Amino acid sequence: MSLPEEIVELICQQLTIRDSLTLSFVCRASKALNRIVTPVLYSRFNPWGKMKKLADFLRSISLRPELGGYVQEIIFSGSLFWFELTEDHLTVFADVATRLGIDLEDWMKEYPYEAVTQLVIAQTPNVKIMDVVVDEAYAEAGAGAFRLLEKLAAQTPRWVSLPQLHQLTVGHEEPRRISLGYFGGIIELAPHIQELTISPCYGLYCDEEPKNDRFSLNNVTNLKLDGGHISKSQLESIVRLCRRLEIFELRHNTMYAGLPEVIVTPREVIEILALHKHTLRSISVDLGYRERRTPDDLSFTGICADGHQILSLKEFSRLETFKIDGTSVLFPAITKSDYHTNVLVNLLPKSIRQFQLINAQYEAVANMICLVESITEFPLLKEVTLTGNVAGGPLGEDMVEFDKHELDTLYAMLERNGIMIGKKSR
Amino acid sequence: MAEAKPASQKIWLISNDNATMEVDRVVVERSMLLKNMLEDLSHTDITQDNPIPIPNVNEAVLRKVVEWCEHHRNDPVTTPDDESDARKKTTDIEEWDQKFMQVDQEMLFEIILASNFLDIKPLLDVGCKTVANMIKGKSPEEIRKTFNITNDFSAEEEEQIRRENEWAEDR
Repeated sequence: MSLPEEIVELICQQLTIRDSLTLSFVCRASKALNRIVTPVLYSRFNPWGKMKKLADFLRSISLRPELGGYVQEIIFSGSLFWFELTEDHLTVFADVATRLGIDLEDWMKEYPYEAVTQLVIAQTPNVKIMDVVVDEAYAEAGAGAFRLLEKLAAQTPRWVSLPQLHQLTVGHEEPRRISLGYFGGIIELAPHIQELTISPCYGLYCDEEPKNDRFSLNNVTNLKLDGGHISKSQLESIVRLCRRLEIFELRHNTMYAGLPEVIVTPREVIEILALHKHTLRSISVDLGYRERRTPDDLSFTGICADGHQILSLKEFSRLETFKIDGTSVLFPAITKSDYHTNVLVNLLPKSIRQFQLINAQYEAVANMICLVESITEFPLLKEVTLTGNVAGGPLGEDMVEFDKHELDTLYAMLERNGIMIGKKSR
Repeated sequence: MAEAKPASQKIWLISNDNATMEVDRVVVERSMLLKNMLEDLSHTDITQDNPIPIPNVNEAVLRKVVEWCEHHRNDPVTTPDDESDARKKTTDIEEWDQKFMQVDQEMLFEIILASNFLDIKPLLDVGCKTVANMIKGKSPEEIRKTFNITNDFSAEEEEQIRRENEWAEDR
């Protein structure tokens, strides 16, 4: 090909993770192309749950460790397609384990897929992004499913580490509550994770005790908990491990009802996040469909119970973005004697730039108008989104339709003040 | 301090085979190389008699590049974040660009080289995607034939590479 090497590399980088077959054919076209394209081919790996693909990949990076050094992104996801490992595979894998200084014990017999996965991870020292989202959770329930990696993390001196790993997503589709600690073997090897997504999240350790102090989330600045069922103490135990959170997202969505742990309330979320009140730039919380317990009832919809609502974010000195669902704030009803419209003025910090309130109560518009009237207190505000509760939404069966005149007034005020409307409500 | 630039300001470019062409400044500025150059010049520095030389690009290729820049003159500028996210990568090409790239292989490669030299990242991407799409689904032999590549592997060497990358061939 009469193009410079860097252009050939750019061309091959256009091919996606699904095009590994094409890349492997390019490698076979000539020696020069093999040299240029092999790093691209190995830069992203997803076995799509196929045992043979995974085992063949492990064999290649075990026989030529420099190939593992090219890996920058690994995705483990999808259903497992079984393949009986050959003697050739088993011999190479045993040699790798010896080289790494770990005993495979019965792993190859009991949990071969999990063992091969961990040996792959152990040999990708430059991986930057990793997704481990499994259909069936690995090995046994509880902490330490990645025990081979835990063993490697416990070695002194440590031969294996993942110093470049900065973005990790862990999750599963198992009908079991599985903790973040379950993925501890990966985290113990990766001290520089900045972005951590847990989907779903049931806590740091659910039924188990922490086994060592190598598990660290010190450098996590971006924490996203997407789904699951999390209590106040579990959330606090994860947030406390992060030294300097800048971005936080929490969305409640569980396949269970009535788990013994009481779900964290919106106010408790903010109390816990106050640990990072001078570093958080963005908070996004959607607890719309959380369980709400009363002494004699368990419900999943309705306005926020008094005492559970978020009252103030004033102490969050750098908070620029705040996205919240309508069940996490409480606007006094227009029909009640304590009706007032200062809720948002009292809630938001001076640093706010973008505010989003979805599935909100009827009274939200008047409160938003009051906020814009006090715009001098929020000089950086540039965008707001406001929507009423949808039919069957978290506030209840009825759709909240805002007063048209009031809404027009709000939109006109926003426009006059140069504030963008993220999404127009009805 | 940079001078105010008239919206309709004209810029003259000259190809390496001495063809001069007049182009709107906003179109020329799709090239980061030329944009940065123009920022350091007064708007009177570039005239029909004193055009900007484009040393690596001939008239036919330069006209194609200018045609692309004309069509995309109002496109938003991409950020490095957009560019670096490998997961968002796709080999999809919008219809106009697909038709634009229906040229012979030599011209396609020349457009890629020119866009690389002139630092026009979106055009470079379209060119690279076009070649990537030409490669997709082809066997090693077909790739060699398409791009006039000599196979310098021995049979044993090629078999070794095939086996090493066997995982990639498992669909």
